[in-house]
Amino acid sequence: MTYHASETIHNSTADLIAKAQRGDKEAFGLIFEYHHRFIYKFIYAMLGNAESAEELTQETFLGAYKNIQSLRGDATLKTWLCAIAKNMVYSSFRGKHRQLNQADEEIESLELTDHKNPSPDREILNKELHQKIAVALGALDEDKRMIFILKEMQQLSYKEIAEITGYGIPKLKTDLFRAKNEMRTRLRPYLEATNEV
Amino acid sequence: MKCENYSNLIQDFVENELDTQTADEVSMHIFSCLRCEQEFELLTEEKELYAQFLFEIEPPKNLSARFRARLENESETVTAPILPEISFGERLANLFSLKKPLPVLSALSLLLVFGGVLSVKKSLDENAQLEMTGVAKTNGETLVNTPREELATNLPRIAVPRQFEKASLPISDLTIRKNEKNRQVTGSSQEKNATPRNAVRRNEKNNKSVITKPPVLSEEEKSRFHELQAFERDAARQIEKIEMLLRSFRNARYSEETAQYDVSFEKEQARKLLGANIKLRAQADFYGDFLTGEILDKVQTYLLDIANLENNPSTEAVLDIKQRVRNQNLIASLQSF
Repeated sequence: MTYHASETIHNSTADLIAKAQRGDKEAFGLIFEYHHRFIYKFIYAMLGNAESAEELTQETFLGAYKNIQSLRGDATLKTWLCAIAKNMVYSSFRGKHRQLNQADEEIESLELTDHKNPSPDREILNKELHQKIAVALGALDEDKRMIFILKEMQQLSYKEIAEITGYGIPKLKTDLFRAKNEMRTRLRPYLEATNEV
Repeated sequence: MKCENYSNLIQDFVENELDTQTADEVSMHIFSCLRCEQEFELLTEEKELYAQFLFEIEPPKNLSARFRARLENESETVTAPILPEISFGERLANLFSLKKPLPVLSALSLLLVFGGVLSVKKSLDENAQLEMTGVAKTNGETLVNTPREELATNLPRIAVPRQFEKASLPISDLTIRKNEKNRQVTGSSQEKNATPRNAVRRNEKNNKSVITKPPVLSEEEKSRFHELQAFERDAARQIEKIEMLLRSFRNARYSEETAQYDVSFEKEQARKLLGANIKLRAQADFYGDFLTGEILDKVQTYLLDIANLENNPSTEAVLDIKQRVRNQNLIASLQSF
């Protein structure tokens, strides 16, 4: 018998959604468990602020819980949650949360480890490179940043990103190409130094 | 196809957006064209760098507990689907292609719709109340003593520990069974027919239905429940790490200097994840979570293969694993878990 993992996964998610739509908080709690890390990472990368990411992650799922009835059968849960998170983030850009280019001191406090047993010089360089990536990310405009994060960092497909953003795939490809060029330009000195070590 | 045409496709190839046939053509061209190979390596290296940026970023460990506490405080509101912000009259006008909505026609239609909604809502509320008492109303008749297994058919798969049930039942059913036990302890048959402790009560002030909290579980049941929650969290984390590992392995680059793929990091990660995987598989069996157990079982094959690669693995061995990951559509499966 051939096992189709994706079918079984889809059915299980559908069960949880159906229960959550009937008001089952435990079922929605499980939805949170399965998806909150992905959403947190997305919001963190967009805002560069852990405190804001925690708050908005919770707000995203609370909003999702209140509007779970609007989740259509043809939309996947993850892209639907991402779309809500995206709206939360864009609202916060106009609100009190600080943006990435103002949060360098918080980025420096992150304990980022290089897992390839580096030399001390390389370890310091990688931490610095991570910080520079964060700053370069913050310098992108919001749309390019979002597409870059979802595609390059969180590995979503163009189709999924189109569902989240509402943009067509040609625009996504163009914005991603430009975003990558901008990132490459800003990070070139650090990338070259990394390769030399 | 000319080289410059392949250059346009290399971006999509790195992003894994090509169909299998086109991807194979691009792959063959890359290995025979130095310029395209350099571009491929540059894009792949960048992608690996950016993909690892978020690898170490984790939400705080107490975020789940804090969220659950906030969710508990949220009242149970079954909201209507989100509708576009146009008035009913305007929609009716669009339907009949009228330039201006007809107020009388709109009002009459509105009255008809309201009347229908109120009668349906009343029927649904009655059913919801009856459902919480373990009975179902069908075709105007009330069925008593409906077997619990029938009510549990649409509940999630995740099972309570086997100590509590002969057969696997959903978590929420543990609550239903506890209610029944309480009723048996406290009441006679007349009390059983009375309003259950966790029945729906109507909040007449704002006309919303609020489901009260279920009765408190015993310490042992609480402990088991928390253990199950901890397992589910750990399993989700494990699967996400494996997803990242497989992505990283899929994007591993070929080194010209050593004439082989550099997968030393992925090997180390696979070894680290193997121990946790074995433990979680055993827990999945214990808790009866067959879906998670099968996923962990499936990925364990890949963890073993990657961990067992030689220190200087052959190109064929690496490509074989890459191809199997792609053919199984494994990363997409894990992503949607």
